[in-house]
Amino acid sequence: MSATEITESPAEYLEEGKESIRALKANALGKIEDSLNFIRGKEPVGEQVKELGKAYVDLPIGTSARLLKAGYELLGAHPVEASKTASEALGRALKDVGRICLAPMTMGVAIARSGLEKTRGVVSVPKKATLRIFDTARNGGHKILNLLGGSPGTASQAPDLPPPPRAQASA
Amino acid sequence: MDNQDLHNIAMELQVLYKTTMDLYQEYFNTLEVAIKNTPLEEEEKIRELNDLIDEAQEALNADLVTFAKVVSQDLRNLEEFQDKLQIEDIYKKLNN
Repeated sequence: MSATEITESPAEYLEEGKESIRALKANALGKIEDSLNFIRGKEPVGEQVKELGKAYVDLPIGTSARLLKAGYELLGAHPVEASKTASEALGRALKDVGRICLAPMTMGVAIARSGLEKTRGVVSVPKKATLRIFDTARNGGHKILNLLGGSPGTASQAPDLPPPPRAQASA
Repeated sequence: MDNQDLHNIAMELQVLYKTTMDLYQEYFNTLEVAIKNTPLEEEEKIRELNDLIDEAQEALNADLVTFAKVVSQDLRNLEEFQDKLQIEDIYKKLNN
């Protein structure tokens, strides 16, 4: 038994217990407030319904830069430097455009989903990939650049839109 | 699956997301009222409510991850998506 416990009166002991419950209650209310604020401030992910544009790009070499450049051009933003890696370019997209946020899919994943193989640092399989851009803007909200890797059949499944001239030029 | 189908899926996703967030808001509001109205003497009840809040926070985070996963994938593959929203479990528990 410690010295503290010996000197503590029953009343003090009870008060301490009450204090800890009071703290627990305050903490619980704080957690609720945080959660409600979090929900209110969350980007409504379900609003990615308005498609801004679509670009089909050939993927021989420098795939990341080509896809990103096409995406940037569709959004009227700065083109990506070819020397940038995909991750650098994604980071720059956020910084340069400001209002754009990216769906949580990295370029690498997008490429992997296209059925492409990356060997020796160069994407060498010439397939088409689809890049679709959605606008979540509502009351001046964010745009989401959603990079969807096209499966080998994607281009033929969606032939309704010809490659935009700017995307062609970049490919 | 054409553009209209994709648009419809996205709209349904939007409704599902909004409904889910509304349910969480309601649930947190309910917990807030409950804990505010519980006197300090009812220690066990306060602890129980605190546990429920922790559980709801975890479920909310998990569901947001699920929505992010759906959004990040090609909507054409949505039928293959197997993840379940945690809010369903909370909803069922409250209605039992």
